[in-house]
Amino acid sequence: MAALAAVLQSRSLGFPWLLRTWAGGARGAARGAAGLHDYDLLVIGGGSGGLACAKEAAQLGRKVAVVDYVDPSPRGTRWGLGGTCVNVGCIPKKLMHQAALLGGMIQDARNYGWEVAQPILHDWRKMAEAVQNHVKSLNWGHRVQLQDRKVKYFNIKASFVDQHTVRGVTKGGKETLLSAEHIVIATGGRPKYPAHIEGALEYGITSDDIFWLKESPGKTLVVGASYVALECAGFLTGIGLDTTVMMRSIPLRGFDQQMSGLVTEHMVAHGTRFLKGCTASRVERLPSGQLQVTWKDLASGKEDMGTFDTVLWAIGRIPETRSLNLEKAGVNTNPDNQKILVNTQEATSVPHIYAIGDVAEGRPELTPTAIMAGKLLAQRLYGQSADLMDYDNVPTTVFTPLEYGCVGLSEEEAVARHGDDHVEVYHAYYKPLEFTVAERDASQCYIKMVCLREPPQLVLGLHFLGPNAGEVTQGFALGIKCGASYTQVMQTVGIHPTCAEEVAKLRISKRSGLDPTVTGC
Amino acid sequence: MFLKAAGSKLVVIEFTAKWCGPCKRISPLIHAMSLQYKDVIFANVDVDESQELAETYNIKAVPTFQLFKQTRTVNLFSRIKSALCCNRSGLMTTPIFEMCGADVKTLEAKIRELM
Repeated sequence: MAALAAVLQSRSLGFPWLLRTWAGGARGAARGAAGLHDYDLLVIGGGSGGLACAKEAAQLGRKVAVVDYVDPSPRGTRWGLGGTCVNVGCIPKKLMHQAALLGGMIQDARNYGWEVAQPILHDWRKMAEAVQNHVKSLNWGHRVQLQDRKVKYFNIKASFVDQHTVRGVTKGGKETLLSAEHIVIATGGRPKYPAHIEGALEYGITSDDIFWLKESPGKTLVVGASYVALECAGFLTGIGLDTTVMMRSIPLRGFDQQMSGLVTEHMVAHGTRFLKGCTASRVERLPSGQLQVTWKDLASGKEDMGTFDTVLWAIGRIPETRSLNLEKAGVNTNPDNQKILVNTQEATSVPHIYAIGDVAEGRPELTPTAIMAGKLLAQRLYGQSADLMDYDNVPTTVFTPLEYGCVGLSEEEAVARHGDDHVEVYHAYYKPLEFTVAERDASQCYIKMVCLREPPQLVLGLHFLGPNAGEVTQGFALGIKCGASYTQVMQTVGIHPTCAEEVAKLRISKRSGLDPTVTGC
Repeated sequence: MFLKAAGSKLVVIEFTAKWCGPCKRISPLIHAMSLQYKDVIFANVDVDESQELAETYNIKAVPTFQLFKQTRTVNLFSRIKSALCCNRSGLMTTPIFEMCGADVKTLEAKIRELM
């Protein structure tokens, strides 16, 4: 009778409900905690958010299932459990970025006394195999973790049949029906292909493919100005490939534009070619096998052509909602971008259906926010928590050849919110010690801290461009979370000699007009 | 079943994966052992290709070595018992020894001890 009472609270009253309850009563005992449905929680999508939510719910004693399925890319690339981050995002990206950085360090090593033979060659195949092996070990690790936490995993493609039921289809075409009391949609997104460019789909690849290529991509054209475009172009250049970036307008839309400009300036100075203000119109395959790309310069209207081995589209990502049959469940999406509309509880238009991660509207497309949101959601559903996910002041880093770490507001956002008169920006150009002996150009190594002008000058945003930006920014994110003020920053002693200490040593404001270049100690 | 066919010989099952570096490194050493210890049966299971098997034997990491040996003596009485009671106690469903990692020296010592 207790199980029946619980069902009464969670289901809306209606004739079908009455019929089901009788059947459910008999089965209820056999299903244990799940009661009326197969599972307490069904998570659609086995990526950063989905897995975190499922594991947390299982730890809280619930009967949980995860369904994960990867539609092959147009090129045919597919991958295992773990989602975008593990397979075609953060992990392989950072490893290839590291491969590129190492190339630079090997060159630096000479200045430090190492006898390094010239020329230094890079073998794509060796790197790709190592990266792919690591990713596969993570796929395995995730499967083992689900097993350990007693989360049921199905490699099936899911779509809604009704608000509590999902149909899953295996690769071979076999169908199953799964029902759950709560459902979490965490299907993430996939790269967008340009709609009106002839040959784009046939001949181009995306980030879904680049990390799984067995052979080197060779001379590459990266189309896009997103961090995906710049990071990929960055490591391709770093491992010695002829790389060009084609951008329609501004780089890193949404990020602080002064910093974005410095990021691309560094890439230009280090061998990446940029075609700014251009859009591709056509991609054709030449008899040699190479690709011929035709593009237009938007300013002059002139057309131009170029030959490449690979064309990588990095023009944005679209949420994976098309094949979910969301209408069958009554889950609403943003008509402009197909992302699922959610409230602060991560709930969709249907109370017991939630959405987290990249698929949800208005959320940062980042792994750590998806993970945290997933865990907090499980805690709210099954633990005694009421804590909501805080999406403010989320730190992040763009892993371009010179890395850009940031947390909080960009200068533009701060000025828009508080007015120019109420914002003070402290900044500095610095030179990492390691660059000196290596004779590296540090022209773009720059930091700026955006603060409120009124004392104690609350820190609104921090922007760091330099080596190990991710490592540097992480600690300062805690400071901002705790409401650090510029006064406190001034009172913080730096660690010497590091690049991070330059943050604590910021003293020159933009307003003063003084030269922000840091001199030696 | 494979384990049943081994009779009273020691069986060494190596659980590996194609993406596992240490597995590749010790592969020639394991192969050499299989030639050296002719009375021991060596077999390999790829955890990605045989997912259910890996799950059944609770494999958490690779490489994992599981050693099996039929400890019960098989006679007419136990055969009748097995047939009547569907008793699986004669078969090996739990390993007598398990080792995770690529420590070939320890593995070889254990093999020599148990064979």
